[in-house]
Amino acid sequence: MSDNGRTLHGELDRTARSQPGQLVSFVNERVELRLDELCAQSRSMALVMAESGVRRGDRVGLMLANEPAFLISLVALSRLGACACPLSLPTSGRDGYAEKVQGILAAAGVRQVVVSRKLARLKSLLAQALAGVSQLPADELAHGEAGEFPEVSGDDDLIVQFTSGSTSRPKGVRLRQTNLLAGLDAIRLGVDLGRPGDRAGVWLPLFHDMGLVGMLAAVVTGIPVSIWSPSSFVKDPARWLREVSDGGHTACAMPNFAYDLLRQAVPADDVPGYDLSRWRVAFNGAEPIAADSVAAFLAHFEPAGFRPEAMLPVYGLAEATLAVAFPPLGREPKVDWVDRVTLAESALAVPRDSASSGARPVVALGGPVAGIEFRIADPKNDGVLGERRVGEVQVQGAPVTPGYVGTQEQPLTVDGWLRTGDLGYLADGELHVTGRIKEMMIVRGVNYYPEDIEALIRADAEVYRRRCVAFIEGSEAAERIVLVAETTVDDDDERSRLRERLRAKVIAETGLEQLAVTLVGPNSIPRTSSGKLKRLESNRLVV
Amino acid sequence: MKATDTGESIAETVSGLIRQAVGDVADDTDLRMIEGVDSVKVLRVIAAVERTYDIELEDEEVFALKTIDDVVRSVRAAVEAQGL
Repeated sequence: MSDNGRTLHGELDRTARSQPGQLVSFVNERVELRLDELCAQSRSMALVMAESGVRRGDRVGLMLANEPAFLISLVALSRLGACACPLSLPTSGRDGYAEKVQGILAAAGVRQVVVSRKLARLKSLLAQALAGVSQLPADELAHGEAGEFPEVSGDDDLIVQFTSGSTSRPKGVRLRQTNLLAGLDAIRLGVDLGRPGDRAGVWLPLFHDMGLVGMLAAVVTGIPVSIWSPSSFVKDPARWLREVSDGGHTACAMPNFAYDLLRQAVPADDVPGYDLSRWRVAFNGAEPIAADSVAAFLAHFEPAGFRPEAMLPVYGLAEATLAVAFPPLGREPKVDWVDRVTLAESALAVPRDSASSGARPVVALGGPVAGIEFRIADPKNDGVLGERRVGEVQVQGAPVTPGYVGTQEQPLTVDGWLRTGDLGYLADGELHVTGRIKEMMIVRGVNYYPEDIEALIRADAEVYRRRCVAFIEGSEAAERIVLVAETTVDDDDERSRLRERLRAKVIAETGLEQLAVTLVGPNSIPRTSSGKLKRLESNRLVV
Repeated sequence: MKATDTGESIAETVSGLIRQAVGDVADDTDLRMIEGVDSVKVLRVIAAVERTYDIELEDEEVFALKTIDDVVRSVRAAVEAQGL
């Protein structure tokens, strides 16, 4: 079959024919869905959706938790040649949720949204968030009987993935059927998914690209998958780890901060009671990877049999249907120590001894996954740069998006490479990511990485939970770097001493004098839904 | 485990657990508006309450809980439902 005929539902039907009884387990729901049931239920749901007016090419919102209806609806839309637009779920009462959803629905031209039964008690919030579109209650979509399905092409859009948008408004990434399937292939081949005994575990929200694409890779491969609600991980990381250990899970993905949560949640004395020896792929992605977090996790869980080579620091983004770079399987995490000043000021990654004070650790992310090529290019003119020269990471290949929805600026260079907006360099053929282009700070012609300034003061005992952000502020003539740190220190004198101490530390190490330090209370720095600190939105904290 | 507890002692136990985590607040204070309390902290407190009563509240229910009074009401309902 040509690539253009490949579709998500086609692949899934094929897997279900060879392994009809393979299970997708929704742990918190206590539901086990067989693959043949998934295929049958998605067919009947597609018929009901069609009766409700969903047509090929329509974009339909999914406001669903980590529940069976999420997966069934997505496959149903695939059968109709329609496109799913996953929406985040409300998590707190004060994050402008309704406005955010309205913006997404308008940008994507969504007229219908499949809504979880679980959200029934949030009627008034839903009425605001979904004003102007019709709601399809997920539990009323189950009873289609018979009907015709359209011919679906690999070129049809299947998903519009809105990115969490750490640094800008959410963008809707269009992913065609062929993009998704190429992205799933890249993950499966990259970690040899489907070895005997493989079992995947997913607690990330399915509306997030890493949760969704990771889950689909496992389901389409035909290995058993356990899906938890994100809150069950956050509420009790140790219990989650216990279930991963007891269930013999071999592949799970999460961002760096979640590995920190696991380490903090399990006291050293309890570690030997876990068996993590079967966990062979622990993807660490979706946010910058801290070398010290990785090392601490490995040391902490060594007595549970966790193998260092199972930790896989990876790079990817929604625009590339997730995976871009994976390290070789079976290798322990590798760190490149480079000169911090040369990296920032000359955009060169010059190796330094890890013990020297000016050295910065950068975690190696491996080479391109199957179907992907990447290059490092000068962000000003897209000229290709050589080894150890820092530039924008640019990506090309079958999993890469054709572009964003709507008329906004498209992410591709004139010669067809995806601009990731990330800075990085190549060393020994492996990708190393050093920061975001937009967050790079230039003061009087000198470049500074926010990560470097933050790293200098993060460990101060009076900085609350290492939380601080640096960003640039002011007009060109009077630019300065603002450092915002959270603290519980209340007393005015102590606060001014702390401010002075942080300022002195940064000046001593960088010589940067155009620096203002602002202290704020705990949990004041804005964060994304996954807990990343938002540097560029922190300027509202500065009076 | 404590399905036979009276309504009174549920209120005491639950508010005790919450105050232990977030400080001395009134029964009708919006917990997420307290400085130093984020949604992770609220989830962790709810988890402790759930373990105490061996109940599980739906995420979407937890999202709607704002005050100690709200949590007490939900726990009572869940404990009663379990007793049936």
